[in-house]
Amino acid sequence: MTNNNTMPAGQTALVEIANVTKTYQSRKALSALNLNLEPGHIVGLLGPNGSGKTTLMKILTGVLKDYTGAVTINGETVGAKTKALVSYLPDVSYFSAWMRPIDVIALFKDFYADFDEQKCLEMVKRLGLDEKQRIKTMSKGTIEKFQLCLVMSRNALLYVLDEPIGGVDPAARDYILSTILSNYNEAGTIFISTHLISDVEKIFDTVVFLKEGEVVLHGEIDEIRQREGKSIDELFREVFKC
Amino acid sequence: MLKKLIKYDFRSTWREFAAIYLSILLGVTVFPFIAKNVSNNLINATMGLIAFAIVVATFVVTIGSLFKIFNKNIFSAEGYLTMTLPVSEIQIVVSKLAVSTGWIILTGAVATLGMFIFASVMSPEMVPQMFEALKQVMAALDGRSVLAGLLLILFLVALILKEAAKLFLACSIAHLKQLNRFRIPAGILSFFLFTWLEALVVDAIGWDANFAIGGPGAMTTECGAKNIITNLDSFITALELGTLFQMGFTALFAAGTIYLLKRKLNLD
Amino acid sequence: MTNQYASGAPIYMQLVHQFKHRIISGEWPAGSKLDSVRDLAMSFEVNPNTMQRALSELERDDLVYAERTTGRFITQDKELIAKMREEVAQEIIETFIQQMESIGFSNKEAVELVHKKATERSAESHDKQ
Repeated sequence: MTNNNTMPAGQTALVEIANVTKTYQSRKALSALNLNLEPGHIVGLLGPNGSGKTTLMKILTGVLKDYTGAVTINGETVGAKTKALVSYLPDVSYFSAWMRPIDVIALFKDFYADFDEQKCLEMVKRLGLDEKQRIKTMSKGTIEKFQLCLVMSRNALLYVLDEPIGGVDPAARDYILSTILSNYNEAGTIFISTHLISDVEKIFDTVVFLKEGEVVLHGEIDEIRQREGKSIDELFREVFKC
Repeated sequence: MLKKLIKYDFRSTWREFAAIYLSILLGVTVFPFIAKNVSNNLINATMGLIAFAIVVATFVVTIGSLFKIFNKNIFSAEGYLTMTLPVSEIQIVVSKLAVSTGWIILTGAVATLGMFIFASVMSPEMVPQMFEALKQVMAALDGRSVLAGLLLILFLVALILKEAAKLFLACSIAHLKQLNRFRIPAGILSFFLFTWLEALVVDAIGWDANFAIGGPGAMTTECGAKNIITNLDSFITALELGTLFQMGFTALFAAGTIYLLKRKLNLD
Repeated sequence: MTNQYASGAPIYMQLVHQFKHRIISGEWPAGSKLDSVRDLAMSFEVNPNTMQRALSELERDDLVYAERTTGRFITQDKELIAKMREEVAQEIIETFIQQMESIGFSNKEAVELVHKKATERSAESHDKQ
């Protein structure tokens, strides 16, 4: 559990990332990265800007293919099959100009067998969104909320959430965190990158610290708190001190 | 899944085409009417200008939609949705080729219909004549000429497919991370490079290049038309070979695009 | 979020502490049924694995027991609860005395102050009635 490559016998990792390197021009975004994620955890991916968090998430979700190394999810290389199991919240808004929430909900229902339309409509209502308003006319925070509704309304095996609470107000933040918690199940993993560590660390059980494209810490949160005598937020500030 | 992809590629582009078709049909009905009844030069000149604008807009919207269907939907932020759908790269490319080709064919059909309407409004006395001519042509048709007609349609469809596939491949090359700073020139350059490559292949085989790659002169010139009529058999053979040629290149370009999406995708 | 956790100690230990308090104060009565791990995790806004660990800790101390099919219950053993209540009281007193000593009060003075405060409080509550 504590170390990224040792696993209890008989338990297979949900996500296996072996020796992954990704270079942009001359800069290494990920450097021979190894990381295994087991099912049944909420894992925080923490690191300063440019440490490779978004790059790693793009590789897991299949929007970045130009790298070296091997990545499998549930034993399959990233492709159509894994995309059916992975629910991804990217750090950009991916809607087309013509789309209204109801259009995208219909699209998700069409493509994802694990999409719970009723749940999504409830969330949309709860967050006070207008399902018939053209998305491009919505505010940035509202768009983020809607995108999160879509992503959390899937019963996925792996959730990959890139900064899920970065752009929303504190009230919505609470609701989003409790939604993330309610989506937890023992077979799946929720993988979350965030800068707002102190707000979120209590919902993690595992954290991964990424520094310059390498894993510098991977462990169970309460063990780290016990060993270091400080919160993950405090530890982060110490490890990544400028 | 392919059906659903096609549905959404269609849904994301029908508005622009609907607007263009509407303006074409409106234009061809209204302009001749005004031209016949109004002798004001200024109005007529304006009308001419608007007609020209519609033609240009049709062209721009068609090309723009090809980009929208492929380039924008895959390589812009929209790609985060498109490329995380549980479908294969093959399905994505096939869907986009089908929808693009469908739109181009439909646009061609609407433009033809437009010209027909234009002619009928301009000189209504011509309509019975046109039908008469059509009847004569229908009566003169035999098995082989019908075959030639069908082959011609097939050839044109294959030609459009290939051009779309070529454009998609050029876009995919332009989005390689190594070409990050030269996207637009890289895209244009690779498009013309592929066109040149096609011409090279045609040359090597020794066909009438202009015809096989569907150059504009092939069927429109009087000489070409005469050839067609006098030599139906060779016309059919040329169409068959030409169609095969187009299909071969379509497959090649599509395979290249699929490879790049599968191995080299790199969304910003 | 409304539930705040101190930074130094593991979250599961803070949960154990909170739960013990609820048991000895009677907020969670002896023999009563606990919510599922999932629901508890939601209401305390913590990771379900962390909640599981806290409950296991309570089980180890026999304060909570699990029935295979029906779920988890607070112990029926009132003596055990009383004993723990006593323990916690001792801890509080110990802390109190230490703190009073640190600002220069003798034990006797501290007890007098406690007595005085207690009298005031009972008078206040008497007035209100």
